[in-house]
Amino acid sequence: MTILSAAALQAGYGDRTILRGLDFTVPPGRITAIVGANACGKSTLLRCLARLLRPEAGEVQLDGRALNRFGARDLARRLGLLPQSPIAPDGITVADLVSHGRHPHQGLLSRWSPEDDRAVARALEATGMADLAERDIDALSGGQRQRAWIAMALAQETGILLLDEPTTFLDISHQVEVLDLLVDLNRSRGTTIVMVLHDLNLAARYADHLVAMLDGRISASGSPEAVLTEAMVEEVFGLKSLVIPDPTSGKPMMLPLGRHGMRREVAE
Amino acid sequence: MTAAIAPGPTAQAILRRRRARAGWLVLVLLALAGAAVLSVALGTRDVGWSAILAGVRGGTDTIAEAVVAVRVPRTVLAALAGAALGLAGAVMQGVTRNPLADPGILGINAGAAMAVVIGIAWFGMVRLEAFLWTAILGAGLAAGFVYAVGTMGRGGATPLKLALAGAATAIAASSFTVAIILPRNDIAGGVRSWQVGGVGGATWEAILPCLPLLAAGFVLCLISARSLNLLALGDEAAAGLGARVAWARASAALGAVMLCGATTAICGPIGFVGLVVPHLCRLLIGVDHRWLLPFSALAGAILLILADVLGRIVARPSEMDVGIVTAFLGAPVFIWIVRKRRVRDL
Amino acid sequence: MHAAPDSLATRVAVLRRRRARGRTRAAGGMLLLLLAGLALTLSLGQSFTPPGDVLRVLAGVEVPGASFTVGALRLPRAVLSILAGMSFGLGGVVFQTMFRNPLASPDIIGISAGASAAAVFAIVLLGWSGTTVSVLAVAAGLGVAAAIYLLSWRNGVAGARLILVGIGIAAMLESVIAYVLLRAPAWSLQDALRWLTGSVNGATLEQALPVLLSLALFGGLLLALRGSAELMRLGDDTAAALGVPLARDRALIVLAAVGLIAVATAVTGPIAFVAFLSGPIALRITGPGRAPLVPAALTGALLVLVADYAGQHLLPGRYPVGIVTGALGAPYLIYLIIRTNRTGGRP
Repeated sequence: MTILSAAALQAGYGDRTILRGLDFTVPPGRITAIVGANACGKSTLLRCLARLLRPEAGEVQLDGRALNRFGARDLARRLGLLPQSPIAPDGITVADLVSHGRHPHQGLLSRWSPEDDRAVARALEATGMADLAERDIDALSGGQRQRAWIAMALAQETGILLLDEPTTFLDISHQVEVLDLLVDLNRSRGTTIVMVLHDLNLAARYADHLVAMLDGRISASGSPEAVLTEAMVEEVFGLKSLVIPDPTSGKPMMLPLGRHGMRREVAE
Repeated sequence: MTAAIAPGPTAQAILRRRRARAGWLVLVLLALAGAAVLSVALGTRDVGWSAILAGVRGGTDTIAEAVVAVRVPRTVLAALAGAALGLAGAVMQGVTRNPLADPGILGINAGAAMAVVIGIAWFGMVRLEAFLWTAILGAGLAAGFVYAVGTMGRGGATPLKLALAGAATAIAASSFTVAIILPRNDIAGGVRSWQVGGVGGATWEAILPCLPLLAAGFVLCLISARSLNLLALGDEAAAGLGARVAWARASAALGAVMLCGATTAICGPIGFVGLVVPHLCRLLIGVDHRWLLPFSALAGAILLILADVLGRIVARPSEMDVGIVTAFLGAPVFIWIVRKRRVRDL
Repeated sequence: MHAAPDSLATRVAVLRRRRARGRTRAAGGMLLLLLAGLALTLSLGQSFTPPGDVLRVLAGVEVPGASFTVGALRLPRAVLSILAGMSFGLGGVVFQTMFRNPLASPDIIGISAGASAAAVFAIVLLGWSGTTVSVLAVAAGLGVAAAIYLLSWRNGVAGARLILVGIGIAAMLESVIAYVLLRAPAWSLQDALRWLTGSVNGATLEQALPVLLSLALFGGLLLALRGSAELMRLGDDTAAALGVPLARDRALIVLAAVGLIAVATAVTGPIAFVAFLSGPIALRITGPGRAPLVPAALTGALLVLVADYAGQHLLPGRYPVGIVTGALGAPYLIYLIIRTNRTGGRP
C-alpha cells in the first residue's frame, strides 16, 4: 500500500504563502476528505501532494521517497489526480478520453497494447460508462461527464487518487452518484482516495477520515465523529451550529445556526 | 474566515483623498506645461530662447524661428492626440471591464487605417474631412466587430479573448491594406508614411477640422464617467443600480471610437498610449472614473508630447515617429500588466 | 474488482482502430489532393506543358523549353510552396493544440513578426541580402519566442499569459516593421513588402533546402512529442497528472514549432494566416478527437500551393501568395472566431 505524506510543508503562489508548515499523512486504503473555508489552502495542499505545485519549504514523500525524485510517468503510474475543472477538447469521445489515462503506462517504444484496452474497459465498466463509450463528452450530463473523467483517472490504475472538488457544479443527485462511485472504487480496488469537498455533511457521510483546514494548517483530523463537532465548525468556519447524528447514516451532521428562522429553544 | 471587516472610509479619509487628488491635478497640469515648453524648445535643431519666443509669436524671419513656429502646432497636435488616446483607452477599459483594452491592441487603429486606405485607393479621397469620417467609420466597425467577437461564448469578454480577437482583426486588416496598396505605386508612398503614427507634419489647417469631432468625443467620454463607475460592478449590478447598461456602454464606446478614429485620421495609428496611461493614472488616483477620465486625458497629452520629444532627440539628425516610441514604451507596460494578473483572470 | 468482460476490451480496441483508420484515410486523401495540385501547378502555368514532358523533366531528361519553365521556374516554386506550407501548418497546429486556442497561432502571437522585423531591418537598414538575412530571421524568431517564454514565466508558463505577452510583443514589432519600411528607399520596397505578406516569387531549390532540413529535424521532434501535445489539450493539471513532464516538453515543442515557422519565414516571409488556418481546416476534414498534426501539415502545403497558383494565374494582376492567403484567411478568421468562441474557445 503506497503511503503519501507531507512534512513541514510550506507553499503558495508568487509571494503569497498559503500553507505554513503543514504535516499530513494520507491514511492508506481509506477515503479522506479535506474540508475548510474558502482560501484555507485545501486545493493548495492537494496540488502539492500531486506535485503540481512545488513547495517553498518542506517536502512531500511517496513511500519514503521525495516526490520530486520521481520521473513524470513513474509518478503518474502511482498517483492520479482529477483537477477541479478539467478541460475536454471538442468532439472527444468517452473512450478517447479514458484512453488518455493509459499514457503513463506507455513508454517511448512500447505503444498501445491489449492490456491497455483491457484497462480502459475495466475503467469504463467500473464507472458504469461502458454503454456511453462512443458518446461525445459534450453530449453527456454533468454527472456522466464527471464519471468519464474519473474513468480516465482510473485507467491510470494508480494506488492513490486525488480529486479536487469532484462534486462542484453538480446538482445533488449527481453529487451522490459520484461519491457513491468513489466509495465503490475504494472498497473494490482498495484505491486510496483524497478529495477536497465543500459540503461538510457529504464529507462526513462518505469519508473514513476527515481533515479540517484553517489558515494553511490542519486544525483537526480523524474520524468524522471526532472532527465534525460544533467546536470545530465554530473555529474553522466561524459559524455556530448544531451537530446531530445523521438519521440515515449515523455519521455526524451539521446544521448551521443563524440569527433568524431558529426555534426559540435552539436559539438559546 | 474570521478576518475583521475593515472600517468604512470616514469623512476625514474622503477629505484627505480629495486633497491628494487635487494635489496630483496641480502636479499633472504643471507637468503638461513643462512638457509643452520642452516640445517647443527641443528638437533635431538646437535653437536659442529668443528664437523660441519669436517663433511662438509666429515669427518666421530666421530658420530658427521658423523651426519653432512649426513645433507649435506639432505640440498642440501631440497634446490633442495624446489626450484623445489616453481618454479613449480609459473608456474602453471601463466599457469592456478589461485591463488590456487599447485602440492598438484591439485592432481599432488598424480598422481605421484600412478604411482610410480604401478611401484613398478606391474612392480617390483627398480631403481631410473625408479621411476623418472614413477613419471613424472604420474604427467603429472594427471596435464593434472585435467586441462582438470577443464577448461571444463562455466567460464573456475575457482579456485574452478580446486581445486575440483584436490581434487577429488587426492582422486581417493590415493584410488587406497591403493587398490594396501593393499594385498602386502611385499611392504607396503616402500611405506608408501615414501607417507609422506620427505628429511630425502637423499644421493648423490639419488640426482645425478635427476639433469639433474631438470635442464631441471628449464630451461623450467625460459624461460617461458615472455610468462607467456603475458598469465596473458588472452589468447586472449596474442595471440593478439603475444604469441603462446598453445605452451607457454604447454612448461611451461611441465617444472612444470618435476619439480613436479622428486621431488615427490625422496622425496614423499610435498604439499603447491608451493602454499605459489609464493604468498609471489608476495607480495615482484610484479607480473612480470621474477622476480617472480627465486625468487619463491630461496624462495622455503629457506622454505623447514627451514621446514625440524623445523621438526627435534619440534619432538625430533624423526623427523617430512618435508611434514607434510609444510602442517601445508601451509594450513593456503591457507585459507588466499581463504578468501582474492571475492566470485565472486572463 | 471483477475483471471487465473481454468483450468490452475488444469493443474498445475496435473503436480505437476504426478511428485510427479514419484518420489515416483522411490523411491519404489529402496527400492525393496535394499530389494533384502539384501536378497541376507543374504542367499548367502561362503555358501548358504535357504531363509526359513534366515527368521527363523530373526524371532529369533535358526537354527544350520545358526544362526551363518546369525545371527552373515551376518546380522550385512548387517545392518551396509545399515545404513552407507544411512548416507553417505544422508549427501553427502545434501552437493551437498546446494552448487550446485556435487563435494562438505563431503569426498572431509575434513569432513571425520577430523573424520579419529582423529581416526587414537587415535588408533595409543594413543592406544585407540572401542567406545572411535568413539566418538572422531564424535567430530573431527564436529570440523573440525565447523572450516571450521568459517574460511569461512566473511559477511556470501559463498559456494565456504567454499568448498575451506574445500579442504585446507582436504589436511592438509591427510598428518596427512599419517604421523600417518607411525608411526603405524605393528599390527595396518590393523586396521588403515580401516580409510583410510572404511570397515565393523567384524561388530556387537552394532556398528550399533549409526548409526541408528544418522540416525533417523539427517536424520529427514534434511527431515524437505528439503524445504530450495531445494531453496538453486536457489542461496543464491533467497533463501533468498523466505523467507529461510539462516544462520540458512544452519548451521542446515551442522550440521545434518556432524553428519550423522561423526557417520558413526566413525564406518566404510570413505567408499570412497559413499557420493559423491549416489546423482548423484539417480538423474539419479529419474530424475532432485528436490533434491533426500531419493533416495540418498537408493542408498548409495545399493552401500555399493553391493560393500561389491563384495569385499568379487566376486573379487579375499578379499577387504574392501572402496577399491571397491573407484575403482568403480574413473571412475564415471571422467565421472561426465566432464559431470557436461559441464553443468556449477550443480548437
